[in-house]
Amino acid sequence: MTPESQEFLATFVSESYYYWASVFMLLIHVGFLAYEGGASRAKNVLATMIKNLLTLSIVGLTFFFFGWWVYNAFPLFPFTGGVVGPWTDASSEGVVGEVLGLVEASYPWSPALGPNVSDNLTGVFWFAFALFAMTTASILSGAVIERIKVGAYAVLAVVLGSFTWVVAAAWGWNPYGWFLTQFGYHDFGCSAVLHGVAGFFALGVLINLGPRIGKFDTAGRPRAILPHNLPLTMVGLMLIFVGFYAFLAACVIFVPGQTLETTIYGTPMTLASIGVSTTLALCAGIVGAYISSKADPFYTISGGLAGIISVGAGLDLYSPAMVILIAFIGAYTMPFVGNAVEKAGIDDAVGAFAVHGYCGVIGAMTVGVMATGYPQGEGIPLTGFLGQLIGTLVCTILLGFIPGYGVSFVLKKLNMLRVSPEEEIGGLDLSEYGMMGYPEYPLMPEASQKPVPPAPAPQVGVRA
Amino acid sequence: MSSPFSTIEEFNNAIDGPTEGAIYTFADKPMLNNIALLVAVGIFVWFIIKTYATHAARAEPSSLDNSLNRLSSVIVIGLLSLVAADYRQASRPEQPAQRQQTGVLQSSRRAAPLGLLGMISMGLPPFRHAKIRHAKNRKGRQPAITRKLSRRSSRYR
Repeated sequence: MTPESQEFLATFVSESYYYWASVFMLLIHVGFLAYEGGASRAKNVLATMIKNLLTLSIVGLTFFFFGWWVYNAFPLFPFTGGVVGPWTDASSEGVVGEVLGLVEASYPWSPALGPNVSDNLTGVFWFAFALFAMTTASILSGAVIERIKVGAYAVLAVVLGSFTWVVAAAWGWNPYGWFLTQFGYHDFGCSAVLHGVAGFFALGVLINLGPRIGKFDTAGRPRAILPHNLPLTMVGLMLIFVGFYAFLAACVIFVPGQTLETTIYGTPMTLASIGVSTTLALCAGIVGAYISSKADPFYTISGGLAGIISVGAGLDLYSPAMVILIAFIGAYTMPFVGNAVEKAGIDDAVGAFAVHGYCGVIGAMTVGVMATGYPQGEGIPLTGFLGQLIGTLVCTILLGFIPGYGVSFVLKKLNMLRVSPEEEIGGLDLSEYGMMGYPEYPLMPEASQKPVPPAPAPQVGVRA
Repeated sequence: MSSPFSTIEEFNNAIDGPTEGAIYTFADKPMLNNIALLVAVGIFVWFIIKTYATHAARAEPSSLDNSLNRLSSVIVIGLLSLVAADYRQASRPEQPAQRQQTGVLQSSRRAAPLGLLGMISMGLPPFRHAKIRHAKNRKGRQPAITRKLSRRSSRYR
């Protein structure tokens, strides 16, 4: 084998690794589609699933238009430099010059994103990041099912999926980000950077969106709105688990020229340990949620995800036994948070805040307690509690809760956030799409308790 | 500090360092990871016991639940007692001159699991009695949800 072909083999290994990891990451979206569709009532199943489908388009396109640029342009802003873009001096040197090279490859008109035999890797990293971005927006989609307008969801998905979480990633999940360079922040699996941002963003939206009709009685006591297909929800979460293995594998950095696998921060790690630790976290999380929720099926299956997110930030650093304990604690306490949110009058249909917001915070902050003192480069502070606290607060409050609350507040004032009560009671499948998810079966509306006749079957070849 | 390294050079060259490539938390203090492992085993045992005690049909905690809680506590505490033995084992190579003493310690370590079994057996009688009580209760009066379900099923007969 010639040196040239050896060099190309290294490039191909790296290109293939991220390509297939990203393809498997798409299973997270298959899972979210099934999970949220099953968690909705039968009259909303189509609307819920189509919203998930639209997430791919909404975030995929906007991430191409500006999201990828945001990731590469924002890491220095505001502490170690400005936002890097076409206005930046092309002859800049040092860190700004290095960042500028990445920024120029991230414009939607960049030659690096098209078929280009001189750059096999920029496109495949865009692919992986686009899937991360879609996942982030999908976390919001489950919380707001059965009453949000599709347009409002689209606006919120763009803000969350292609901007706020991307800024969080630029600051906290980037070798040039100021969370790392100034405070030694460490968040390998994006506990706060992705899950914390999305969970708190969803909380801000839910406060303005309000609960589904019938969720609380006249005294304000919560009532159960049961999933119409819990087995589908279970299968959905199992698919999310599969996608999470790929997501965490894609967090490992291996590019040609490296002599070992590293994190995004440049610290050594192994892919094998991700397999061990993710599996243990999944198992311990299910056990923790099973015990604390007294075998509630919905919380038990969510416990697996809660366990993984609770250890995500330090997945590259924890010993296996520590992983079990941390995942157990995160998932054990998660149902209490979910119930507390409900008691506060907030209708989080799938427990997105408890699983992603709360466990995201637990995950990021646990590094500051259980994985302190790790060096991450010359002149960079060691991992510690203060660095994790600053990063977590910025992610959850500044980039999560405030934008979610602010944008949904504006949409609410413009009457663009929520469907009308008539549409909500009749079901979004009929009002949005003019058909039902299960046309052969009569559905029982809550108000009358009389079966609704099934919609007439559309005539073949006739379009409305 | 949980990190076994103090500089980035040590971290990058972990394969040549005292941890021989291990980069995880407390790799230089194995006792802490062993404690965590024993607690994890305790949690797992607790989970297995809980699978017998957790049923939606039982609305209120029964005496069986209380007994299982006590049993779980005994098992977790018993597992933690093994930590001391593990520590003695870890410190042995540093005391080569005290060979005779080490032998005594080894025999006490062998006895630790027996002690653990004894501790568990302390928890068993209430478990057995609670089981008998629970069986009596089942004969005497049915829980509310069971009564409701049997009424509902008789309606469809």
